Amino acid sequence: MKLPPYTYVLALSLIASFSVYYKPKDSAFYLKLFPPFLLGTSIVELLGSYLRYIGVYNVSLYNFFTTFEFCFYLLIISLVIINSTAKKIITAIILLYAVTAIVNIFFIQKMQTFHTVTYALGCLLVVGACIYYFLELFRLPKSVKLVNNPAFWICSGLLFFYCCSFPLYGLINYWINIKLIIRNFENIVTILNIFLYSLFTIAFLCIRTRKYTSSSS
Amino acid sequence: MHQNPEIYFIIIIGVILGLLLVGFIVSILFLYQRRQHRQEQEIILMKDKYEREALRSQLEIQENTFRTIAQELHDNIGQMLSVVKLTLSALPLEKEHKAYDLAKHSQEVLNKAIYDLSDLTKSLHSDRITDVGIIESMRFELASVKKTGLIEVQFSVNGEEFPLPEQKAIVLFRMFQEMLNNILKHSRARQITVRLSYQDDDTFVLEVEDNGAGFNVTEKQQSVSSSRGVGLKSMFNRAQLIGATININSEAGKGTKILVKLSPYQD
Repeated sequence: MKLPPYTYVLALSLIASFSVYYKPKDSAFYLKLFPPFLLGTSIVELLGSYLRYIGVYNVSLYNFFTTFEFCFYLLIISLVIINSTAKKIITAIILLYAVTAIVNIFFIQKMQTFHTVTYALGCLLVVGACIYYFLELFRLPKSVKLVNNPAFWICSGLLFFYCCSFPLYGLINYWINIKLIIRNFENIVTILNIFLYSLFTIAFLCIRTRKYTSSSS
Repeated sequence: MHQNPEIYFIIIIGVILGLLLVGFIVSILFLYQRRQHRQEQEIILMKDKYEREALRSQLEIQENTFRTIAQELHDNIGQMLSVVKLTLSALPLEKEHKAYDLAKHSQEVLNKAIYDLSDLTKSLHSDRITDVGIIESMRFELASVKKTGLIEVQFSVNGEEFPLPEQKAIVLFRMFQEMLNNILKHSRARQITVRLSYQDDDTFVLEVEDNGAGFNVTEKQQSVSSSRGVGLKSMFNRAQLIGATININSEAGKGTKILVKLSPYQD
């Protein structure tokens, strides 16, 4: 069984994510949600690779997992942003999106087809939420040290990943028939995932660096 | 689902995503520019505040120095001169004595020195300005100028006098001294006219006019030389510190007119 290269970076990110539990007082709640999420992601990736290895079509697994992923990232952003109205709106969007995606997976695009429509919608929602976070961050009266801000790294990774992966996954049902594209598809997805999980790793470690510095001074 | 509606949906979402990103970049640029503008304004305000504070400290130090010098002149040198004067007057010299004229002359010189020292002490001591008021202090300064016999002095006060805040009165008086000093040093004027006006709207106006050589105000203000225009800049700074407006009208050969307006109870 051959694992995609980005799963190693994912494993590294998972290990790094456990550091948020070492100083529970200093880590924000949203960061503590990452280790179980990354653990789940790793299991799904392993399972996906195994299903592919034994020749079972694994699209339905990714249909559900990507839906959960979007809901999770939206939840993280809602925890990160300050504006309470925006938080409520994002929470409502999570519920609406989950229902829409499930309906799409079960009744519209069906289980055996990748849910491109709701995937594209999910990309739009996550990108929109990330943009809102950045605007909020930029309008803060006090300057924030971005290097030590985990939310900044997470949102940067999400913004980049979903902007780039949107045309790839959104049109995957069309790419699948073009051999040249599908051959490079995996490489592009690998690069995007490596980038995303690297930024997640930075997010977990940047607070550790900060705490270490402050405790030593 | 048919493939066409699906692709349309993806394209629509792609367009929205693109617009969002463009909007995001534009907003960030706009916010960045606004923040930069605000920062620039804050820097200007801070610089202004710093300059005011520096000037205030400088003036405070100057006033303290003046006060100490005045105190020392009065208590030490003044006392010593008085003792010398008493000793001289107690000398048992007859008119026929060959040292009598010399002693008499020394006594006169000493009297003048004591008198001048007293004037200098009064002029330096800021407590006196607040004690006797700005009108009397200015009158006293002008009397000293008049005594030289070189310049004719006219002094008038209009309106009902109202008290000026202590610090503002001291700064105003120092400005007035600077003006007199400039006239004596540079103008070669034959006449000085000083008008004080206490207006009904609680505005105090000081007008100092001379018929001297005059000067080019703009040129003096823009002078980059470290020594030229220092007094003038100092006057403008002092006026800014107490919230007064200063207007200088001067032309070469046509004298100078300086107008200082102060609303002492407005911030």
